[in-house]
Amino acid sequence: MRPSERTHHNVKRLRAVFAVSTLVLLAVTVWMLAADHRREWKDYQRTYRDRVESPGRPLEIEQINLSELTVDYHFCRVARADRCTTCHQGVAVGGPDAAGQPRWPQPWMSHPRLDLYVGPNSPHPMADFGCTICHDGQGSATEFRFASHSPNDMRQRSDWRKRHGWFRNDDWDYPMLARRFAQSRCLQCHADVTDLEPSRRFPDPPAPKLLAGYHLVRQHGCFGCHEIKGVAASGERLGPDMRLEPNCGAAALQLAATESSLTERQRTLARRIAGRPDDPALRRRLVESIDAEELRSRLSPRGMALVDYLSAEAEAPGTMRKVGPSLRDVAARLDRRFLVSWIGEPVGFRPETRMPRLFGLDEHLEGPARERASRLEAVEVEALAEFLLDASQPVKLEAGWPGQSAAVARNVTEPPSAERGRRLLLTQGCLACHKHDDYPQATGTQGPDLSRLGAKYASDRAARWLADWLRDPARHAPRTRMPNSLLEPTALARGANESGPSKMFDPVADLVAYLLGSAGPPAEASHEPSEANLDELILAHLSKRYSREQAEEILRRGLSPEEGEAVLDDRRELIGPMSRKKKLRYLGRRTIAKRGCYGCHDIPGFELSRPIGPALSDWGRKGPTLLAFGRIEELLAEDGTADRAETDPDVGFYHDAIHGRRREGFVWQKLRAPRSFDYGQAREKGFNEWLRMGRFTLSPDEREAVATFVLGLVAGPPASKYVYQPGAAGRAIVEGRKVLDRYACAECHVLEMDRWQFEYDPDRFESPRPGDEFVFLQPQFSREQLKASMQTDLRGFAHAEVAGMPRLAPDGRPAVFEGDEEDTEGEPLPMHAFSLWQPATIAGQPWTVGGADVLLYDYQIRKQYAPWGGAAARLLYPAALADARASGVNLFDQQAWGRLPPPLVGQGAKVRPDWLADFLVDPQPIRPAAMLRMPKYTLSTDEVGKLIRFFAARSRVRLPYTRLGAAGVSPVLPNRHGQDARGTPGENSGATRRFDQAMRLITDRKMFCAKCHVIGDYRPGGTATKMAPDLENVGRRLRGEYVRRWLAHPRATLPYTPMPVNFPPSGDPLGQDLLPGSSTQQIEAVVELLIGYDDYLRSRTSTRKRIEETDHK
Amino acid sequence: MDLYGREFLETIVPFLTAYYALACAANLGAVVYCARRKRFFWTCVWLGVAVGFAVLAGRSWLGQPLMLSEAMKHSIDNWMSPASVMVGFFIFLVVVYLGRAFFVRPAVAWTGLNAALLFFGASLADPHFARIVAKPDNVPIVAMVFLLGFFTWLGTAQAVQNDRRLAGGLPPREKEFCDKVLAWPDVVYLELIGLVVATTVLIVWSLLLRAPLQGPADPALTPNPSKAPWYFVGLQEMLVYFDPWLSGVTLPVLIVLGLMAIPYLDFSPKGSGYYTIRQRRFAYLTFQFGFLQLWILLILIGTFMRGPNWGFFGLYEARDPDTVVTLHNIKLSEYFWTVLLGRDLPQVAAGSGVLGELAVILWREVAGLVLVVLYFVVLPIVLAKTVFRRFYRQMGKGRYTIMVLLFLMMIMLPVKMILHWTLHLSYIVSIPEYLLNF
Repeated sequence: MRPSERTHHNVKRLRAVFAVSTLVLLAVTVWMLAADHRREWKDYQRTYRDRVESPGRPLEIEQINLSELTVDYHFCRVARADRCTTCHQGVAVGGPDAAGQPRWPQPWMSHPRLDLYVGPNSPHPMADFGCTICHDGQGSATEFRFASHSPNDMRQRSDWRKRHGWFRNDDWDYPMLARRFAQSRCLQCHADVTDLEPSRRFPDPPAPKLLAGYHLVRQHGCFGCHEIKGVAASGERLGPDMRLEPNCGAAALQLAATESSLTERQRTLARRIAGRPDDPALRRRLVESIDAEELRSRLSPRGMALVDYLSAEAEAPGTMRKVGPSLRDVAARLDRRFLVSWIGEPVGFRPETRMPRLFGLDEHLEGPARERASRLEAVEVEALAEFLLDASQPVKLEAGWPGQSAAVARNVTEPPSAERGRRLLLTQGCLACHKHDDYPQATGTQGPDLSRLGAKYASDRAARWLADWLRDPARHAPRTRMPNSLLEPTALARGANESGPSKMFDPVADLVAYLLGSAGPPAEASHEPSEANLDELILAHLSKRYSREQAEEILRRGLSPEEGEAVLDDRRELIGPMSRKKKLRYLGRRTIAKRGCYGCHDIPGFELSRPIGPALSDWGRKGPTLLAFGRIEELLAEDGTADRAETDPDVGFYHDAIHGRRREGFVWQKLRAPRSFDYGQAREKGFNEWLRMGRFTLSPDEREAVATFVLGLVAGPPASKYVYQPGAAGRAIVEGRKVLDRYACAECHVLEMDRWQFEYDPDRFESPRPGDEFVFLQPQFSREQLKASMQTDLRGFAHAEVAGMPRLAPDGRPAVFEGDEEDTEGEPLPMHAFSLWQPATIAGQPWTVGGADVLLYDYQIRKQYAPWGGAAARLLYPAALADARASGVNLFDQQAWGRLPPPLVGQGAKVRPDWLADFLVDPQPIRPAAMLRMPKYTLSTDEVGKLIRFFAARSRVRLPYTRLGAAGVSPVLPNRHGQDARGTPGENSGATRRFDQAMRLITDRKMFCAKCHVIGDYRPGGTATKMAPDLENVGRRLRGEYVRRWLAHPRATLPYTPMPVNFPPSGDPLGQDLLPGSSTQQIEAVVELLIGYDDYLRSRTSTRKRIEETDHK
Repeated sequence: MDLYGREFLETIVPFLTAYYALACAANLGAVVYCARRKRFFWTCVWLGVAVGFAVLAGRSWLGQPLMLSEAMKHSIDNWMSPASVMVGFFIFLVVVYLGRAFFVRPAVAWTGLNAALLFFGASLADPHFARIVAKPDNVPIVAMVFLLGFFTWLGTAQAVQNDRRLAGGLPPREKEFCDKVLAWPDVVYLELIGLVVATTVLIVWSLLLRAPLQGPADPALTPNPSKAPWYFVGLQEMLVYFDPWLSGVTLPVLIVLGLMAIPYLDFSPKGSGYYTIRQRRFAYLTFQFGFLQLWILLILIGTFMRGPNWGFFGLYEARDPDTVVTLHNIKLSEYFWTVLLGRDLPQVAAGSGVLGELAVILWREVAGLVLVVLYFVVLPIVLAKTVFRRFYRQMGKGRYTIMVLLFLMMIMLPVKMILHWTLHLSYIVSIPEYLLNF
């Protein structure tokens, strides 16, 4: 065969190959089409439609278009399209769980909080908000694995991998938040955070974990080291703003303490600034006065810097105070031994302290590094103590304080008694904020635990300091949140057969005696660090600036004065000749600067220092590649965490997050073992470059709460119409809450009553007899509301909600009674009595406040919302009851509330804002019987305003307040009576006569007011514990409408009050001989008198007559 | 891709089973092929290999795939460095070239393929290797390795055959057999089959592997490592050794120009239409070295071995961004002035004019400049007199000059690489004042 005629291939075989390959292509094409057709969402939709909806609606991809809720693609913002509902079909439907049946499983499950989300009547309806703005994730995906679901633990992860082929898509910037962090995203729109607290509309806490994190951050002062800035330079709100307030107060104090050229007047001004650092006018005055006297040239360079700082005006300054105590006068109270042991290991003295542990965190170090750490850290601790004591500024103790003149002090006849002190700790309300081992039931966390205080304040001087502090904390630390409890020498309660001058005791002395009485084991003596270690650390610091030889030279001789002139920083301490003290001082300064102690404490010389930690303002979006994980996984494998990840779902989650280099894992490990990221790198880094964050005493749950908050800091709010912008009232409540939180007002005062939801059989529920009531007191319920309360569910039960207070047993716990109904064994079923504070509709009947208690069996109660606030009042309740009974006053249980901090429900509608402002600034006693006085806080004008607006908004009353408009009753005004109130009152004028009659009623001591009430200089008989508030001040204090309701039916306003009904709504009106007229008329007259009391008295006093009388004499 | 060991095994096992099953099937094909030709020895050998692969497939199915021992992985990782890989590959090329008559034998080649499959399969059971190899971006590169191996073998086999024929006085194979091919059915069928197979492969590929799309580009965040598209990764590797303007602009342009110039430089009719090595030794070696060593291998290094911070990683090493490798970079001028002469580098005095500055800079870089002149001016002349005498005579001055400059430019890359690895030499001529680093 010739080559040219030969074909190269066997045609038959070619055909066969072609046929086979074509068939394979066909099969592959069918596979492709099938894969595209059989999408998992279709199965989900089909199942849902078959089971829940009527079948037949075509399957389709459902999409929520959100053109304004954009996704940030870095170069542009793209409209969001959420297709989640394609699979999550039942998310917006109430679902079977509302009827008590088990929930649908995923993906059909309904949203667990339809009242808050997704539901059309919720604040976040699905059509407007979609899903991914809160949950994150890839909203446009229609497959499970591409939606960037994030498993909540390892079991879910492996389950998802098996069932859905789940994988972690690192290429999507917004992976869905694991369920445990779902609340984080609330922060992007709710920058104020406090608007997420439970409210009347949403009594179930909307974001409890996030709020817990917020409060932990607030209380532990994370912002001292890490800036949390929520305001852009343009003024736009980006997120929670928790910056420290400008340090003007400390700067002014430091200026006054260090600059000798200042005049005495300027010093005084500086001290005033310390108390009011937010007042720019004061600062301006100081700066202007320094400039006017041309003092600037005589100031030191540091002084100049302080003056510059004081003259700068911040645009939108931070508002948070430093959380730690001021150390400006620490030498007055603490000794070196305590300081060293405390700084070294705070939990050793106080297990629950908020002070982080900064030293001895060496679990991640090995061998030489660990040895080096323990050597040099001991030096740091010692140097810190040395510097703090040395830099501490002198304080004047036992100087005169307001109200404590020497004469009063001499009046004290009794020696201090720890026994009395112990009781005072409770009865003076200290336990609202502090804990003490002797009172395990106290839970206050605002202030430190007061147990073993004797070990801390060991010297006589410290005891004197403590007494001085208790008398007026703000004098020592102007920015402390501890109030002045106004403790004054008091007369000892006298026994029945005692006589003679009353015995006076000083509560402050008693408290000091008690608090210092319990010392516990003393702090261990520290080992003085050797000179060699000192030098090693100094060289480590100096090596940043100097060569080794230069540094050693400085260490030997110190800096020459000429060199010292040039340096402005800590090296000034090293101006020669060298001494051990200088070295310690230098190291103390360096250590404070390095460890950032001034983030929490006011330390002299560190007024202008910047926070040492990285900002957290947008940490929730920080690129994981910017987080230095280092060799942390090796450490976790070594210390057993990796093994625990297998068994503990939480550890598993976080270990996985670390494994995947994700933020969640980083923050978890950072809070657990802050320095462990140095593992294996301690040798490469110098001692001073090691990580320095301290370890806080947080439980795992608390750490997760903090992580939830921090992960929510994204500094990227969506379009402004989505950002929560409350109205004026809402804003007032949000702002006010912050002030309430700052001063822990809710520890004593109840701000929102108990709310109980219950179900009942409407046929068997006993309704109260409709009592007679004034029209203006009758609850206003529409016919529809009453009818709605009769509605029953499928099981025949009706539902109701009541707000108020359960009856308390003498021990302060809700009292349990035996009901008529019996269980199967014939035992009576337990029941509660609930006093209403708000009218309610139950079983088609209106229930009024002050009427009968609602009696509820335990089994009827479905949900109990705890009250907001009042923990300390409840703690005091048994004591108040016992006290009253001991002093011979027979109180019904509830009436003991009258001696405790009052609930502030409806406060805005009760008192006049001008009076409230005065009271908050300078509280005066109101109820003689009260156990403790309202202490005096250092509130700024701004804070007072916020509180007043808060109470007004809560009570839905308008500000500003006018007596005429809001009161609803006519006060004594000239235009009403056609006469001049200051002029000669017409003796025959009907109005004046009415006032006189009303006055007769008030001053009647047999039946009416004067029986119990103090009126001006009049005191009813008996001890103070039996007296009622002064009526002279009612007009200045209360709103007229409130007084009217109060007089008509005191218990309808304050269910626990012992005040009787003096003006019965039906039957014959009483006291006709004093004040004739119907009860309503009597009330009107008394209200007018009380409100216009001052005017009335003035009209009864003639200045002219007095002058004439004087003339005659 | 934060898979744990167990999860990784679950993922890789089905693939490995199919992989070994395919290898087994391929060897069974070889068994059939050999049996038909009555080569009983090889039939038995391939049958044994097929059984071996079947066993591996079975073990994979049971969740116990063949793995390289940790010690082996460690030693491979330790051995690997840019220098060792480049030099090792060069030695490999030389050995294959010298023993080409042996290596092109089908049985040898098939053995090599089996060995490669085994090695690749065993390596796939390592998560780090699998992660880098199975990355959707890199899958075509893996395919390229096997395809390139096959086609290089095919071409070389034909060239060896032709060389033998030419030595025996016969015409090349292509000349003897292939002067006529039927369009129908031969070519059309073949083309159709190619079309169908390519389509099938693309569909299956798209169904099995996710498109290698990444997240939205973030101007504030550069990916680490940032890699060029696979065909440019070789160029990116050159950035390690040269200044960007050189490796990113000049050299690519010269490569393109050089390729365009080939027809005008090389006018020899030999080897036209058939494969031969002996007749075109210089062209063959230059091409194979330039293509395989300086282009393909650099792509492989850039794709598989360069990791975070453009560090060099062994095949089985974790791509840890925190791995830090100390780099020493010393300029030739520093060697010359400091090491050799023990003096400071000449400094440009403040206030000297442009010319004065230029003079100092040139004086400072004098050693490098002399070397460059020697390399690009003197060396061509020397070559023309010695090794390239014949070329010079045949090509004439102009074409020779262009050819030799292009050739020297190509050789410059390995030379510079070797200098970099051995002497930590960063630049021969370094004039950062004018962005001239060479």
